[in-house]
Amino acid sequence: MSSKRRSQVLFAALFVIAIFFAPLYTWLGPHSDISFYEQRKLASRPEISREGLWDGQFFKDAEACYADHFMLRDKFVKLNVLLDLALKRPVVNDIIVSPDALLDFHGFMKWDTAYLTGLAEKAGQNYGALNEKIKSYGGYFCYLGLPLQSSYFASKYPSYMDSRKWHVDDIRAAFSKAMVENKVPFIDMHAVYDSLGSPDDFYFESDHHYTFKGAFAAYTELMNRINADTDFDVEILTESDLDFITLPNPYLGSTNRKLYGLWPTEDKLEIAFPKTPVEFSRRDNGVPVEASLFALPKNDGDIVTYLAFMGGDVGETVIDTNRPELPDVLIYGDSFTNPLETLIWFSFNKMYSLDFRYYTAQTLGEYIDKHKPDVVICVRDETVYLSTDGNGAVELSD
Amino acid sequence: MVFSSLSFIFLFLPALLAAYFLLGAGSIKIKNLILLVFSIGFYACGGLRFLPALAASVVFNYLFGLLVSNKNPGKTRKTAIFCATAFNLGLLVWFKYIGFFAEIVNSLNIKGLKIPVPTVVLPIGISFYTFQGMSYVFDIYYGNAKAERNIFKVALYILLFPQLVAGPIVRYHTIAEQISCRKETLEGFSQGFMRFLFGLAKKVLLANQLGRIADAAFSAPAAELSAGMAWLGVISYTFQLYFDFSGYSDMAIGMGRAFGFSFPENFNYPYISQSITEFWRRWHMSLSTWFRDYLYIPLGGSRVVLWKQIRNLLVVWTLTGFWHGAAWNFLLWGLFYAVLLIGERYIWGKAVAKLPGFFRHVYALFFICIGWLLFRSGSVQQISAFLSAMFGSGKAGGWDGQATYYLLEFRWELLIALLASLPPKKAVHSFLERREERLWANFLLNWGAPALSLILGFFSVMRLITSSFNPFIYFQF
Repeated sequence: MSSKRRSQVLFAALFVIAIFFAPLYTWLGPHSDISFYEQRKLASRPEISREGLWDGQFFKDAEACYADHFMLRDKFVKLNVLLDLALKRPVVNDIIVSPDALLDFHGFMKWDTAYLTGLAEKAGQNYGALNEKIKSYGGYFCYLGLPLQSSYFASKYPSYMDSRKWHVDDIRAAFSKAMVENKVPFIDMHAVYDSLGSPDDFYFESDHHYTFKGAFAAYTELMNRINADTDFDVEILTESDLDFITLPNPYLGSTNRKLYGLWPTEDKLEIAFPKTPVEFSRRDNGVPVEASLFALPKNDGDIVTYLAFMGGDVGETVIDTNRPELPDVLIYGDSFTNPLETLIWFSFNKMYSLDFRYYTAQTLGEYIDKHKPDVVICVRDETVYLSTDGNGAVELSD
Repeated sequence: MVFSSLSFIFLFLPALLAAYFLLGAGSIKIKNLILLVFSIGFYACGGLRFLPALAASVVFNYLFGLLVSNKNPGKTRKTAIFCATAFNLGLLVWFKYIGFFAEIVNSLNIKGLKIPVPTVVLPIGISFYTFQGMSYVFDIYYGNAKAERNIFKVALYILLFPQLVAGPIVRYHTIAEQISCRKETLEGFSQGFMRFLFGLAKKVLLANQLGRIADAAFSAPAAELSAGMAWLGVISYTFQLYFDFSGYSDMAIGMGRAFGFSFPENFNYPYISQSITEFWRRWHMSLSTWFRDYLYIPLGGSRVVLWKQIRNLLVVWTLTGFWHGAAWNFLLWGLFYAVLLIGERYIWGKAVAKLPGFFRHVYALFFICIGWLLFRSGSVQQISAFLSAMFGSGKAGGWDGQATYYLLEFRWELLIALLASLPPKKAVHSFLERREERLWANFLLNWGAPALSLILGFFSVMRLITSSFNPFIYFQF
């Protein structure tokens, strides 16, 4: 057999083996319904319907399902990320790979930000009404605003990229003005961090959240503000009151997660426990659960994520320390609340935590009417100050 | 269903190969039946609603084929060829152009005349299979082929899945014999699927990636583009179209070869052209030869008086533009080429031919790029704003961060696209052939293409899988 013929035989054999093996492995091999790295359910098998067959939707859905469950999908996608990183692409999977941080890629769209004023006025009125409602029964409301990592590290963007600082700055300015006009206690942590010199270790390199250090600075500012504005005189934990632990586990940040954790990082998760223990019970969505503040991996080699703080985003969490002499606190907002909660609970009798992206049993107004918490804290990042979805929906019952 | 999908490569293809080579072994009739069934299945994956138009095209063209046969009286044949043309054009007009025409009539604001704009869903590949159907009837009428009495063979010619939805437009006389008598060989199989993999790589690794630059440029308000980004967008779109379309043609021709067919070539390195006339001898050749043989030459071609020659060119190129889509920009694009081709033939062609080769390339590529700008733009305003941006009058000036980003992000694709649009393959091949007696050259000649195609195929599949990557910041379980 000539060399040419041998190459044809081998090619044909490899090609046929590949196209026959892949569907068999996909069908018979290991299956999963979720994608860990994408944090989503994989597409399910579409149901056959007359309409779906007629307009072709069934076949589109079937293709999506097949692609989602294709053999070794995670490994292929991981290899693709590895290749893109090796090719030194500035953006991989919508993440800017800069030398010392992974940052959100925002594209290059520009728009007029004049529309923000109207939205900010509306948001200010909403929070003004909420503030009045809480004040009416002797409570105290405070809004804690935080930068996202991409905003905090705006200077780390390559010069040719758009950090969207212009947009975030305009949102901050409009919202701050509206909060002042409506006399709502508001802490702009971006400004506070700036005054502290914006230390790099306040935010992760590879996650859009702050680190425990950043959260601790926010906690300190918040608690000082509560004591300054009220007579509750809540205890404020200082560094000397806490045992800080840096977990040895590899940390998988939200932005590195999009890169399958392939970006080399020094990020580690730090947590802290009060040196003086206080007993408490915990209920998640009304169900008693283990009284813990952190969901920690079993082994040092296991991946740890930001979800370690309070076990991630939960619709409703109630921490009860059974110290009725202390005030109660309600904290609500997106995932920036989680590290704060691991500190705030210590100074209150009960801590109610709500995340309205998942909690649907009651509106914010109804919840406040029911529990009348002494302190209500809203924690949101500055990019969503003007959003009225999820935790931005200020629905009052009267 | 498209060739560059996982379900095509890893479900449709293995099922077809198994059926074709195991069940159909030894019998051309069974093989043809399997190909026909799979072709219908392939087309049906776009939605069953598109099948009636396709079935009508097959049945009517089959009947017209019988009627235009030279066994019938001349009057019958003439009536039949007229009806066949009217039927096929009617099919195209109804599905592709009716909405466009209705909007034109309504925009004229004629008193009391308001035509409801029908919402007709465009059947996939109708422009291609209608032209194939016409080719079947025309070839019989002009005596280039005999009318086929077996409707399944006509159906297979029109429906044959490799060329059904995006060409090449295979004319009936080219493959009439192959439908009845063909031989699949190991060489054809391996060469065919090697070509399929190269085509897949062109589509997935180059066209899809470069399409992201083009999408960014053409979706942005043109007035806000920097000159750099506008040029980058147009150049990327120029590459995208070539690698998308020629990649698809490679896949079609390759699969055809694996099943024993010999489809005509559709592209011949069009971007090395030194004139627009040459470009159209190298770009979408199956379409240009279709128009040449079935329209331009019957109109008299260039063997008529000057004004008729110009009329013929205008008719052909207006229809070529219109064939690509029911929108003004396609008409403009067709007319643009009509003007350039008329200009090259009668005014500046000789002057261009005297220029050094480099300048002839620049001349041709400049107008090709402008042509693609017309092709892609959604309105005359966008064309105008885009042209302004390209020549530095846009708000963003000469260069901006967006252009830097896209250049850096896709630098590898741009570089490979540039090299792959040139014909280095021939040069490398002849270089190796001259040294065939040397072991390394012999090894590369025999093993280079199979190995490279498999590697590119692997990376293409990797990219296809990656296109389903859809991460969420917050969990969506």
